[in-house]
Amino acid sequence: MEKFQNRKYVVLIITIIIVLIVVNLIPGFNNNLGNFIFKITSPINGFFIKIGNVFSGFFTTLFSIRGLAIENNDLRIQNMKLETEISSLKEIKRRDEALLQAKESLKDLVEIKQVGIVIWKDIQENQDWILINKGKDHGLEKDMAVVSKEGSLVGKIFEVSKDFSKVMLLTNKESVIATLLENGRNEGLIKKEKQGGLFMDFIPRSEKLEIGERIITSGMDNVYPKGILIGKIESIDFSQNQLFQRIVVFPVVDFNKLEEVFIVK
Amino acid sequence: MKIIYIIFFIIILLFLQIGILPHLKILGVFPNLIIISILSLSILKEWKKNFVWIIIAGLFLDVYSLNNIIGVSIISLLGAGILVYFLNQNTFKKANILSLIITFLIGILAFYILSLILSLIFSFSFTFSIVLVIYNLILSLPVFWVMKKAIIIK
Repeated sequence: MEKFQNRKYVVLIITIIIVLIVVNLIPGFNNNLGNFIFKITSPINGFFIKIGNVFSGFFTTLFSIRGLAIENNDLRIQNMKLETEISSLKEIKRRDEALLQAKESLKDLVEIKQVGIVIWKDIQENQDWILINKGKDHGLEKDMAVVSKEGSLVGKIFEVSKDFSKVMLLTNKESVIATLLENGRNEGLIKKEKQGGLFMDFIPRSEKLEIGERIITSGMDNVYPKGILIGKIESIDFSQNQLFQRIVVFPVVDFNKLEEVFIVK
Repeated sequence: MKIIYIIFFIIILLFLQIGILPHLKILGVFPNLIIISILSLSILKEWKKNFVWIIIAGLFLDVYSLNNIIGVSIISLLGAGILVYFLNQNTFKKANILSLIITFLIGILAFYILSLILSLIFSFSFTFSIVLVIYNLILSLPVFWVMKKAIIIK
């Protein structure tokens, strides 16, 4: 009887494997199944992510209480300085408004296609992708660039289903971005290091670089529009090559705090 | 009554996995309670009785992963679950802490190795990290204990 039972389960496992192979061969099946499961589970996920962020914020505050007294004193001094600056800033603001108007006319550099809400973050590996609540029905396509509300690069659309899209973050090990140093104008590629950080290499040693210099997209990969801020130079490594220097890049986006993103073209 | 325990356990599990654990990263990784729970279930109950849970958990992990292949986690969980069950039944009959730790270690390794093999076959990116294995192993005993208590209460 037990032998029969075991044989039954072996047949069941083989059947499951065959079914899995077949469903993966049906075009669009995985996308539709994903879309269906995302629809059911996304409200619960969003709720848990929000609670988790509250939890994280609470403990961060708790650990920083000791520094609060010193910070408070510093803030009082800063406040006095800021009061005096406000009056001069009002004048600058008037000028900035005119500048903004001019910037509006240059808007065709990047066109915002959609605004997506982050409804899921990777819970399995390195948190290097997110799920947003916009998909094919909202005009999204694979390889569209995604930016934060500050206009900094988040990543690109990796997979699109009917109502949802998976966004591969620039910290994903598969991500390669054509970049440009804002001042030096050196071109290169930003990739992920094995240790987890981002780096840009093959910059000639003769180039003088500054810590904190901004790195932007070059547009050479035909995925990311030119001019989007990626990060800043965190450190420069001369040890690995005689001819080139290697830059460790600090991404400006705080991926843990992403709540909404903008899909641009 | 049984269904209430199950629903309650799943809610707590998802809350910890989605809301809490991503904030407790060590060297860029955090544990996967879904894998640990399935391995615990496989030790506590006959794998055939956990079959449906393995499929549901595997499907959940597959849909919520960057590779667009359904079945990678299902097969890895199934393989690891069956292995853990038979190890517990035949090899590590003595139910002491050490045998439990070894069983979990083999189960976790089996899951990640199977996933790695499938990632090579279907050419998708997969990160195998020993830190992740250790982190999962550390959490496996408390999860096992909670599940054991829950099954006894039930």
